[in-house]
Amino acid sequence: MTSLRAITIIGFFVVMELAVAVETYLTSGSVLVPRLSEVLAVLGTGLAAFSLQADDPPRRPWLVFFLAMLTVPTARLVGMLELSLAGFPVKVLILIVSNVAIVAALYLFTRVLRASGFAPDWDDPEARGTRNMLIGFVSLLGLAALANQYLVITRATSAANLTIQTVSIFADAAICAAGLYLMWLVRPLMGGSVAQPYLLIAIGGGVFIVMDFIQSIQQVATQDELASPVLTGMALLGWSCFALAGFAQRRLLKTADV
Amino acid sequence: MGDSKVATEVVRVLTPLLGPHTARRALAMVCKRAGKDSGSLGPEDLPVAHQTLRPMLRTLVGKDIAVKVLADLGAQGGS
Repeated sequence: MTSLRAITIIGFFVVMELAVAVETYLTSGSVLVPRLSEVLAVLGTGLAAFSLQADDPPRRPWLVFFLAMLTVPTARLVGMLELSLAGFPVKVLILIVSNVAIVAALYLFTRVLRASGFAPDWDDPEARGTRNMLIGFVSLLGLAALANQYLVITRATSAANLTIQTVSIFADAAICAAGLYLMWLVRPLMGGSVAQPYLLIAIGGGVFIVMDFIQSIQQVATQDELASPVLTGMALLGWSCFALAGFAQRRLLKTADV
Repeated sequence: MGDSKVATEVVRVLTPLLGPHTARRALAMVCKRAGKDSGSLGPEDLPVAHQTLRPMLRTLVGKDIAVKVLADLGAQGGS
């Protein structure tokens, strides 16, 4: 029951970032590699979900996470068709579903950890210090989301733009808050292979919240419109974290086979 | 008094999966259920360890890994 090796994780990130750099150099743009990272996130989370047995408690959050990842390339394909529903691009509606699904998956992950009996109790006096830190960070996150939303409202160029950015800001804030809570629950498990997928998910969520803040300043509605190589690189990092989380969970299960 | 051989094996088997801190917490849970301290835990307490850990591991990591971990514990903790 082993986790992914550090060199594997770092190597994955490096290969992805190099690939996008090469694509940008050759084509003056970066389309395929970012989309590949999203597909890898689908693949990784799907492998994790379907490696677990149907009645295993961790299967449900992995399944929801997989479905959340699946909606992203689906939205891209739908976006090419330029479908709209009641004036809203269907692509935007699908991305809203994706954000909600990720929040739901993270909540389900925290529920599995708490139900196992291995996670710390919220009222545990020994965990008071880290608990207070968590509350502090989440509070700051909420304030940052509100400030971000103010920027979005003052700079939005369309209803669809405003909607997707608003949903993205608060969903990513919820994702980051859930990710921080997940890390708080996983902290006692550090040093064990079971912690790795959760840490990767939490890091991926953290990357996207930072991106959201930057994007709202740049008035970018969705990640297709990323112009900065820094943002492209960050998006790659986020999707890679989600992909690697799934691969790590899969490895945990496969190396348990007798 | 240090840990018994069985207690040491419980921690050794669980640490790669759960990390050292939670492995020791799991041992404490087993000891509490067995009504013994970690220095007194013996092979006769392995069924108690299994009963304690099985549902927790099943919830956290699923059936396959739980079965493997408990098999490792049963194979090595009783020898």
